[in-house]
Amino acid sequence: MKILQNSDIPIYKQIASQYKEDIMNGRIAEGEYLPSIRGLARDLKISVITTMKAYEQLAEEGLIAPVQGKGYIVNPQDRQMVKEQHLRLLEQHLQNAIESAKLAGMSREELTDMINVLYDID
Amino acid sequence: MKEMFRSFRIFTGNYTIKNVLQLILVFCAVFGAMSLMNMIEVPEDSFAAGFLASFVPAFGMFIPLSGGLMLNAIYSYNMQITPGYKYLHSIPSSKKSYVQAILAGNLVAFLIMLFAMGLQILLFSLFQLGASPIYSAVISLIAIGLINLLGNTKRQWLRLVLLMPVFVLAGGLFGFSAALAEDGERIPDIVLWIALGVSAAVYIIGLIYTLTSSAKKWRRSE
Amino acid sequence: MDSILTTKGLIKKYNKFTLGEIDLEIPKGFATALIGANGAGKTTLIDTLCGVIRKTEGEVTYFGKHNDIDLPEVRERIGYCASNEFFPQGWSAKDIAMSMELAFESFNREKFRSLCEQLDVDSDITKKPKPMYKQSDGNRMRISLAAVFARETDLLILDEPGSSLDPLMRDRLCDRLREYLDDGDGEKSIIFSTHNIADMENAADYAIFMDKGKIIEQGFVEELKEKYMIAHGAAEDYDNAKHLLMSHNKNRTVFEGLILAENAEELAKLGVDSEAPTLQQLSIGLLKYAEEIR
Repeated sequence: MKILQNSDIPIYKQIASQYKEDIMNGRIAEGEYLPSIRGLARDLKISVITTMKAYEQLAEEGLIAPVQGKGYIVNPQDRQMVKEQHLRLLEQHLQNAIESAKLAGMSREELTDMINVLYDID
Repeated sequence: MKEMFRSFRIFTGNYTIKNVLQLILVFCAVFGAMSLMNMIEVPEDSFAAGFLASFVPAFGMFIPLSGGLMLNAIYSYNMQITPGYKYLHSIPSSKKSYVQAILAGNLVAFLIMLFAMGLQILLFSLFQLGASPIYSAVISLIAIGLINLLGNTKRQWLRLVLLMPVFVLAGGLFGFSAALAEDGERIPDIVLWIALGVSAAVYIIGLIYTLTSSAKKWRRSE
Repeated sequence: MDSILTTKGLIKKYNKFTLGEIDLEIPKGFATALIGANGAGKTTLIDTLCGVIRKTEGEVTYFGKHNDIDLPEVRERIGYCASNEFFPQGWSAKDIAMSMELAFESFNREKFRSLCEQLDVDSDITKKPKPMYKQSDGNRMRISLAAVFARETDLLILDEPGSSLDPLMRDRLCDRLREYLDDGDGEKSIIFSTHNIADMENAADYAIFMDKGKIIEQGFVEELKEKYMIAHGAAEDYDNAKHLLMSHNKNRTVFEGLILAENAEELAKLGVDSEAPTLQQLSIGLLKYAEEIR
C-alpha cells in the first residue's frame, strides 16, 4: 500500500482505490479480512477516521462488508461482471489506440506489429 | 494507619521521607558534636562556648518546625498555582487522601517535635546545655496549630505573615530567659505552664478545624 | 456512534472569563483534538472534565453511565496529564513512580521504566535522578507522558501534550496515540488539546474548535475537509470574491481564504480556485473567522 501524503487525491480515496484494485484482480481473496481500521491507521501513520472512510467507500461499492466484532470482509466478486468490465475498458482503449494510429498514419499491420512487441514486454 | 501513610506517600513521593530522615541524621550529628565539645571541656569565653550557647536554643526551636514546613507543603497543593495541584486533584479518592495526608503530616510533625525535645532534654540533663524543652514545645505547638488553621486559606501570605511573629517571639523568649539565667533567675514555672496550655489549645483547635474542614475545601470553586 | 463522554450545558465561570455553554459528544474509539488559541478555554475545559477544578453548572457523563468524576472507578479509567507543572517540581521520576503506584491501581513500574528508556529520560531506577525542576520542558513532558501511559486506561485526556516536544518526539507521540487506539480496538478513546495542530494532524479523527470559551465548529476531520475549502485567487479578483470568503488573507499579489465547499463553483466562475484544506489551514481559517465576527 502506497500513500502519497501531499497528493491532490484525498488519502482515503487512494487507499480505497488500491484496495479496490487488489480485490478486483484477486490479490485479496473473497472471505479475507482487511486490516482493522485502527491497525491500518497505525501502520500508515494516519488518522483512524481516514481508514474508516476508505472502508466505508469500499463497502458502498459492494466490495467489502462490515462484520460485527471482526472487521471488514471481502465480498465475493462477480467474476463474470469483472471480466465484462475489463473487456469494456479494453474496447475503449483499443478504440483510442486505433484513432491515434490512424492520426499517425500507421497501417493495420504496423499497429498489429506494435501490439505484438508490447504484449511480450511484461 | 496504613491508609494514612499511603496517602502521605502519595502526597510526598519519596522526597519528604528522605528529607525527614536526613534531618534526623543532622539532629543526631549536632547532638553528637555538642556532646563531644562538652566533653572536651571548652573554656568559658571561647568561640565554641558562645556557639554552643546560641546554637542550642536554635536547635530546640527551629528544628521541630521542620515538621511544620512539610505539613505546609501538603497544604500548598490545595492552591492552583502550586505545581502538583493538577496531579493530586486527579487521583482516585483525592479528597480522602488529602485529609489522610494532613493527618499523617501532623503525626510526623508531632513526632519530630518530640524527638527534638527528647534530644534537648538529654543535652540539658547530661551537659546542662540549653533551656527548658518546654519552650520548643510551646513554639512548635503554636506554629503547627496555625499551619493547620490557615492551611486551606486562599491567602497564603496570611500564613507566612502569622508565622513570622511566632519566630520573633521564640527568639525573644530565648533571649529573655538567657538574660534571666545570667542574673540567676528564671521565668517562673507557672508562666511556662500557662504558655504550654495556650499553645496546646491552639494546636488542638487547629487540628480539629483542619480535619473537619479540609475535605470540603479540597477543590474550591474559584 | 457511541460517545465516551458527553456534556450538557457545561459552564465554568471565572471573574474575567466564562467557559460555556459547552455541549459535547466525544466519539468513542477515536482521537479528538481540541483546537484553539491560547486563552480559548481548552485547559479550562479539560481541567473541568477531569474534575481538577469545580464546574459552575452543567452535566458531564463519562463512559455512558457515570455523572460523577469523583468516583474512583471513573478516575482510574481516565488517563489525565497536563503540561508542564503537572507534578510537584521537587519530585524526580522515582518520586512520581512511588506516588502513582500507590495512587492508581493499574500503574505498572516496569512499563514506566521501559517507556522512560524508550523516550530517553530518567526513570525510577536512574542512578542520580534529577528533580523535575532541573529537567528541560521536553523531558518533563516525556516523563509525565510515560507516567500516564504506564497505566491501564480507557480514556486519555492530554492537555497540550505536543507543546514542549520537538517534531520527532511529536511524531512518536502520534504513533503512540494510534497504538493506544489500536490496542483498544474501538473501546479506548483520546482527547488532546493543542494550539498548533500541524504536527498532530494525522492523529486527529474528530476536531473541536474553540474560541473565547465557546465551541465554534466541530466534526469528524474527513467531513470537515469536505465541508470547507481554501480558496486561492489573484488580488484583482478579491473584491468580487470577498463576500464568499469566511476568513481573509490578502496582499498585493494574491489572496486566500476559507470558504464553504458549496461556494467553490461560484468562485471558480470568478477565476478563483479552491482546494481541500489541511486541518492546520482549517484551524487558522476558522479561528480567524471567529475573530472577525466577534
